[in-house]
Amino acid sequence: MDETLLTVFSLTLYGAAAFFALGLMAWLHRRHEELGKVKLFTLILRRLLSLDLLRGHVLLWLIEMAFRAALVIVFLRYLRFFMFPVPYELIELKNIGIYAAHVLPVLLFLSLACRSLTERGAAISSNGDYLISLLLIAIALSGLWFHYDASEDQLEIKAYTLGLAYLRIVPLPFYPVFILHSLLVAALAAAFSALRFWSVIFGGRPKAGQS
Amino acid sequence: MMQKRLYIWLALLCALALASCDYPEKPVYEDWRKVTDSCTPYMVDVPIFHSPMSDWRVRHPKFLEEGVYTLKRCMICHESNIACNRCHDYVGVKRILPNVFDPGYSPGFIRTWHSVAPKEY
Repeated sequence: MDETLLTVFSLTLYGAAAFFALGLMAWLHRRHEELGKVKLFTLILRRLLSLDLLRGHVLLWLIEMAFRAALVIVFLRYLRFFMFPVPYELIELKNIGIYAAHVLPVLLFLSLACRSLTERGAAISSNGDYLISLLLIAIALSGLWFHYDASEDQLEIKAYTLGLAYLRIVPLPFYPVFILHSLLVAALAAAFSALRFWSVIFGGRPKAGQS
Repeated sequence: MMQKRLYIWLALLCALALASCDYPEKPVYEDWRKVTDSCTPYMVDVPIFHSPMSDWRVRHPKFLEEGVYTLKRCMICHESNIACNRCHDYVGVKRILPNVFDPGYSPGFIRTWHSVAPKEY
C-alpha cells in the first residue's frame, strides 16, 4: 500500500481508538464525580448486564446477552493480532472463536428484527442503537468474508497490527477486506463513543432501556 | 487541572515506553534451503507446486483442510519446527506437531521431490 495512504489509514485507526478511550475515561470521570465509587461500579454492572433492557424486553435481553458472550470470545481471539508471544489459551480459542464469529451476525439480525418488528422493542430503541447494530453486522460479515476469502496474508497483517500496538507504521500490502474491516471497527468505536460517552458528557442522557 | 496534567504525562510516558520496546519482527527465510533442508543440493528456490510462494503461504491451510495436500505429505520434505512453527507462533495459530509414531512419518526421507522441478521454476 502507498506510504501516504498507509499513514492516513493508521492515523484513522489511532484517532478512533483515542476518541473511544478518551470518551470512556471522561465518562467514567464524570460519572464518578456524580455518583461516587460504589454507585459507579453498580452503574457499570447494570450497563454490562443491561438490567434496564431486561425490564423492557426479555427476549431482546437474552439475544443481547448471547451476542455479548460471542463478542467477548471473538474479541479475545482477535487479541492475538496485538500480542507476541501469543498465549496458549488464546491459540486454543480458535475453534470456539470461529463458531462465535458465525453466531454473531445471526444474533445481530435477530436483535435488529426484535427492535424493529416489535412495538416494545421499537419503543426502547433509539436511532443510535440501530446504527450500532448495523455497523456490528457489517463488521461481523466483513470478518467472515476475511475468514472465507483467505487471500490476505496473516503474516503481513500481524506484522502491521503488532506495529500499531508498538506505535510503528509497518508496511502493509493493499488488502481491501482487512482495510474495510478495520475502518468499520474504527467507525464503530467512534460512533459508540459519541453516542454512549460524549453525548452523556455534553449534557444528553441515554434513553431508558438502551443496551 | 493538576490531575488532568498528570493523566496526560502518564499517557505520554506509556506511549514512550511502548515506542521504545523491541518490535518483534516477522519471521523471514533468508535461505529457502533452510526450510527444505532435506532437499539439497538440487532444490530450486521455490518448487513448482509452491509457486508463487506468497500465494502458497496464504492458501496452504485451505489446501490442507480440503485434502489437496496432507500433513504427512508435507513432512516428507519439511521439518515442522523450521518450516511451519516459526510463522505459526508469530501469527498465533496452532503449532504443527507431526505424529512421530506414524509409520509414514519420515521428515526429509524422500529427498528428490523438490529437486525434480525444472530450474526455471
